[in-house]
Amino acid sequence: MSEVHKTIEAVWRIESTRLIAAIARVTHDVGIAEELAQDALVKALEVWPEEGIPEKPGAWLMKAATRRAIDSLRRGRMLVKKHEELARELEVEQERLGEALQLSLEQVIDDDVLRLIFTACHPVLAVEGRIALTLRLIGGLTTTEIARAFLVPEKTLGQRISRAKKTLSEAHVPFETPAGDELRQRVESVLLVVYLIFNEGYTATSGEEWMRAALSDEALRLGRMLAQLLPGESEVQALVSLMELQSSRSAARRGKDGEAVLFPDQDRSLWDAAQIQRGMVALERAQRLGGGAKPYALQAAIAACHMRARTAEETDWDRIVLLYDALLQINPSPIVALNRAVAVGMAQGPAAGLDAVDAAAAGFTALAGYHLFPSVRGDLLMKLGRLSEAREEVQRAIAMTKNLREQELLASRLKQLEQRDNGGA
Amino acid sequence: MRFLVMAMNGPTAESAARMLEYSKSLQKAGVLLARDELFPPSTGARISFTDGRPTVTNGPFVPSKELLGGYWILQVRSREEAIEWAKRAPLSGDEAIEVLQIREM
Repeated sequence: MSEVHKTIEAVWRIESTRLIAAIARVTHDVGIAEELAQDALVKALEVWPEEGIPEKPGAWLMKAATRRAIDSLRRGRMLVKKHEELARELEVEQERLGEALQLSLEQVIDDDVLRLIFTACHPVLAVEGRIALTLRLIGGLTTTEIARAFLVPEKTLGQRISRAKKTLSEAHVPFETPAGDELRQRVESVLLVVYLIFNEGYTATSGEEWMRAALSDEALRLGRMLAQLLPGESEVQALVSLMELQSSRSAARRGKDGEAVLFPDQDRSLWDAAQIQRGMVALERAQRLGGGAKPYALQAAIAACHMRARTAEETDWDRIVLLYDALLQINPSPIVALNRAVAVGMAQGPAAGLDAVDAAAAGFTALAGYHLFPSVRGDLLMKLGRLSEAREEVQRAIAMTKNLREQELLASRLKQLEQRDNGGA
Repeated sequence: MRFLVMAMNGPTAESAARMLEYSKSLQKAGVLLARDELFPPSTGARISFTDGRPTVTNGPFVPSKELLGGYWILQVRSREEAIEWAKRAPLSGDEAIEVLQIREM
């Protein structure tokens, strides 16, 4: 990529969200807004390599998009869903719309950006549509980049985005910030999308390596953005905290040969202290806002417990069990129950842990189909010295996971078990 | 990737408000990790080494043309993006900003 193109890409990343948000305020249609903004980008790609980067590239793009919008309107090709009367009286009204666009583009307000985020994460869309649209409209990522991150064909991803835009348009989703009870649900949907993007990058199930790191960073950026836009929402702060604390361990998660290093074995000096600090501050903010007992805050508090311990042995497992108890009450899920059982095993010994795992499996039948269930059981059985049972569980876990790195980890555990079993015999 | 964006010379009384607004825009875009303003060198100290032995000089130092006045740490996706953000800083006259990538572990 040439120098100019890299700069244009950077400008796009900085300006596109506000540009799309400002246009959408007038057109009330995010799809149309995005197309107009894209047209402006195409124009920039034509003109800038010839004439150089303008002094105020953001204003330039806004002007280009406005011109384009007025042109389309004049040709009567633009569908303004919320203004069908305008479409009927096009002759009279086109100037007024043009002016409105110009004005909107001149004064983008934070609320427009927030509306754009709420719209991209609207519950009327399938979750994968929300993710793709968020990365496209707010992340400024190209379809190619998103496709590579999620390891899906570019064509599939393009269709996913068009379908999402079409759904929004057909459902007449208003371009607005929800209020009252609806706000809470809608914030939840936004946070879910951000956390799913983060996890896609962090837990590495598919996609190219560097693109996944970009996804985690993007989720963190979205989180920080939201923290500014919704300063009173404790769960926004809590999610930022959770993501900061989790990704602060990135450098310690891989060994010299790229192999996975499990949490207790990590070199804690490799954890990013500045990031941990940011995570702790965000958690404190969430708690001060009165949201300490909400789901993301509890998860962040659990992560914070781990980060505070200087060594794995110093971890306050009793407190972690209590936090999981609270989380399980408001968010009963098999994974939470399993994690709680692991914590019980650490706090009260492997026998209590095994009881907790089996109780969790009795409460959540879905656990039986999840590879971490036999993996955790195997670990606890090993600690209890029940080696042949442990081996069976680990073998079962290997057969159940598709993740190569986890297979490797489990295989090395199996080898360990076999050596111990032979040594004992 | 992270970048250290350094403003040579601190903000003046009249530019302080614009600087704050600029920092706010970085924060709203979600790219700002940290920022600080520095006291002028008159209150600082310079430790120079001769054959490994330190000598402390209190500020102000011998006229050094450019002195760090403040910095931002940005998390962005490219060097160009860091530069684009730096270009948006409200500086005037002969002031300068330096952009350096932070080495990741």
